[in-house]
This record gives sequence, structure tokens and C-alpha cells, in this order.
Amino acid sequence: MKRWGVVLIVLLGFGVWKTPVERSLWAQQKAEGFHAAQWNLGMRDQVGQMGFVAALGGFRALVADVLWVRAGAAFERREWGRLKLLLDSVTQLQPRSVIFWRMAHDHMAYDAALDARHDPLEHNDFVKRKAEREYLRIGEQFLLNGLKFNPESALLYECLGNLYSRRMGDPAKASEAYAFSAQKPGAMGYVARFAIYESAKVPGREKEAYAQLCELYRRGQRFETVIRLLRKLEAKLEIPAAQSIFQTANADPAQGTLAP
Amino acid sequence: MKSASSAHRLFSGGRVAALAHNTLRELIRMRIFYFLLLFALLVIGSSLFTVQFTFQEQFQVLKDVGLGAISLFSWLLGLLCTALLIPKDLEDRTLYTILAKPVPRFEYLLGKLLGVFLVIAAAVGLMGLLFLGVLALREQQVLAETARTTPPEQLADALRVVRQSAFQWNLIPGILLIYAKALVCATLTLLISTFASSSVFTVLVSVVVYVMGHLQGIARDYWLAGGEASPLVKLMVGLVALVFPDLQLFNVVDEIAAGKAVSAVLLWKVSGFGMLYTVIYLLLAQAFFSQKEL
Repeated sequence: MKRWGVVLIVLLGFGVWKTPVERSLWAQQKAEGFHAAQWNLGMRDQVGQMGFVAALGGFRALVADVLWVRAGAAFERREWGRLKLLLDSVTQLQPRSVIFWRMAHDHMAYDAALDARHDPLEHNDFVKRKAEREYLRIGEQFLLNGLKFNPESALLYECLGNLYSRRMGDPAKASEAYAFSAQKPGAMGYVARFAIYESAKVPGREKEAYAQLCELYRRGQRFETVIRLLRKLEAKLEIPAAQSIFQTANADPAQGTLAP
Repeated sequence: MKSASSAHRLFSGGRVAALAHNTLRELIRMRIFYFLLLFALLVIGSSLFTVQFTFQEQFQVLKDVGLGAISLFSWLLGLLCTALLIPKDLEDRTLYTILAKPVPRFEYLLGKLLGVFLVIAAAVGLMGLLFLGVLALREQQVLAETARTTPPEQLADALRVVRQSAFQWNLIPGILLIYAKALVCATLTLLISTFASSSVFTVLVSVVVYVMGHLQGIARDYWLAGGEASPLVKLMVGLVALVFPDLQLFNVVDEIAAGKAVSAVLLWKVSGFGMLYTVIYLLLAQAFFSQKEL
């Protein structure tokens, strides 16, 4: 009994000393971006009791992968509601994984939204459009939530730009998202250009966009889209032929044309 | 000429090393490394199973499965080897032969534990190499495929994205922290085995301690935050926070697999804290073992 008493006193004494140290280490890890998972009862419903314990027991990423595979099966069966719940759980378990946010957005904003638009069982066009818009919003929300956890992700900003540009018809927001993407580490070479392309579509920003496109042209980035937009803006801004960038830059617009 | 008793030192690194070496050899003879086949199947299988996914998903799943499996197997290996240490020596009567010689019980415990640490180090090293090898192989395949199918003007960007998704140096600190956690768990198992009545009891209690260790952070925060719980609940939660180690501190591999890097300061702090846990639990194990009737 005496031995047990000594062990317990040492254990408790060490416990009193270690508790604040553990707490500060935990806080430091959280500040450095670790332990970002969000636990809630909805997730427990998706992963089950054992999965929840496994996730808490240090196998969070593995549980997220199992749910991801299940999400793949739900996608193949076009069970969009179930897919959304599974994607919610996956992204809550692994919020630092950019690829999960990106794919969750793809499934909702592209697969589910397009499926809703072409739903053969729904004959009311208004209902179809409404469902499509809702899926687009869910896809957008996945990206915005993903950016809260991964603010330095060039990929998520690029996807947001694509979504606003190609699916939601909002060139102002698309331009902003591409411009953010271009500032992030590991950004694709084309996103800065895409920001200008989108800016050219925003009413009231034509002059600014024209100046930026002229700069691209002068730097030798004579892509088909750059030339097409320059011509379009010159016509819209009624720029005299003598002041056209194609004259002043002293170059043949067709020469060195690149892919968009 | 010195007498035999004066030549005998109270603590001898040589004796501890001999015991550790012997334990390592003994465990290797038990063919415990066969589990590596299972690990290889799991990692290679997961890399084949995910070929239908995009390459980024493939790498993500491969890293999650690889690191998760290293974590699981290293813990299980440490648990089973340590739980069997003392009972097996008692059964074989080896323990009596060793302790009949002038070998202090602390040296015996330390030597045995170091032997287990070496086994876990070898296992984690081998699993790490296998995992990184499969990852590198898959990366080369994806790079070759990308180079073949991507237009030249987009190739540099595409290859960069593939490389960013695959092997990253931050995986190495992740594996080191898995090892540190396995050592803490093995020492805890040793502590339990010094007062346990059977190996089954040791294994069961160790599994419970492992789960509690992962929930300890929640208990600690709840205890320190106060709240409106009854005094009995507060006492229980406080005991959990004080007695159990916080194993979640070693669980950073989930974020590492997602591309996050561990700072050197954090790595050292967590590893150092792990060492401290190990020393404390070893000393407590000695407190029980020194008085144990054999």
C-alpha cells in the first residue's frame, strides 16, 4: 500500500507540473495550424461510434479517407444529399487538406449542380435552376470554408475564380479571386492573366483592364485571349487607330500568338 | 588487486547494453517483423486501390494510410513486446538467473525497455523506408505520365504540382513523432506490467490508457475551464488530466499528411516532453518492480 501511495503522489505531483506545460504545447500546436478538426455530433453519425473513437484515438486522417471512399460511392449513385453530409465530415476531419475542399467543391458546384439542371424527373425549369443555384452556393461555401483553414492556398483561390467566372457569372469576384491566387506561393503562371481577363468583363473597369492588357502585350505575352480582349476594349473605349497598342508597341499582333 | 565486490559498480551501462541487445535478439527470434508483410500489403494495396482517384487524392490517401499504419503498428508492437517482457522471463526462469547475479532490478528494467525501443526503432525505420519508397515510386509514375500528357508550356507548372503533392521532407519529423509516441506508450505498458497479474490484464489496461491518453486534452480543458459539473465529475476529470499523458500532442501526422510542416522548436519540445514522460514512467515502474516478490 505504501508503494501505491508513493507512486500516486509522484504521479499527481508530476501531473500538477505537466498540466500547464501540456496546455501551452497544445496551444502552440493549435497556433501552428495543428489539431484543426472540428468535432460535432453530425460527424459521429457519419463515422459511427468506432470511427469516432478511432478518429479521436489518433487515426483521424484514416477515418477521413474511409469517408472519402464512401463519398465516392455516393457520387457514383448520385446521392447528392448524402454526398454533401459525407463531404462535410471529411473536410471537418481533415480541414488542412486542400484537396478535400477542392474536390468537395467540384462535386457540389459541378457534378451535383449540373445533374440538378438536367434532372429528367423534374419538369419545372424554375425548380431545376433553383436546385442548381443551391448546389453552386454549397460549392462556393466549401471553397470559402477551405480558405479559412488554408489561407495561403493558391489552388483554392484559383478554383474560386473558376467558379465565379464559369459557373456563377460574376467577373468582379472572379478577378479578385484570381488576383489573390496569383499572390500566393505555388500559384499557376496563368492566374494573374486570368484576373485581368475577368477584370476586362466588369463594367466600369475597362480602362484599367486595357492598361493591364497593354502591359502584358508589351511584355510579349501575346496570347490569343490578350489580343482578342485588346481589340474588343479598343473598340469599346473608342481608341484611335494611331494610338492602338498594336501600332504603338510596334509589333505584328499575329506574330508570336500563343494559346489562351 | 581489487576485490570482486569493489569492482562491481552500482550502475553499469555495459550490463544495460547487454540486456538490451539480448532483448532485441530475443524479440527478433520471435519473428515479430512478419507484421511488416501486412504493412507492405496495406501500403502497396492502398496505392493500387486509389488509382481511380486523381493523383492528389492518391498521394493524400497513401500518406494517410502509410503514416496511420506506422502509428498503429509501432504502438501495437511496443504494447505486445513490452507486455510479454516480464511474464516471459518469469516463465522461462531467465529473470531469476539474471537477478541472481549482481544485476540491479533497475538495470534489468532499463535494459529490457531499451531492447524494446530498439525493436520499435527498427520497425518504424523499416516501415518508414517502405512507405517513402512506395510514395517515391508512385511519384515517379505520375511524373512520367504528366510529362507524357501535358502540353510543353504547362509542363513546368504541372510537374511542380505533382511534386508538391507527393514526398515532402516534413514527413520525416512526423515519423519521428510517431516513434516518440510509441516509446511513451511502451513505457506506460512496462509500468502497468510491473503490477499486473497477467499479460492479458496488461494489454487491456494499456489499450484503455491509450484511448484515455487521447481524450486527456478534452478532460484537461474541461477541468481547467471550471463549468457547472458536480464535484465528483470534476474530481474524475481532474484525475484523468493529472494522471494520463496527453497523447494528442504527438498526433500531428494528420496535418503533416495534408502538407503542414512541423517547426524544429515544436519537434524538440514534443520529443523532449515524450522523453520526460518515459523517464517518469520508468522510475514509477522501478518503484513497483523493486519491491515485487518474484
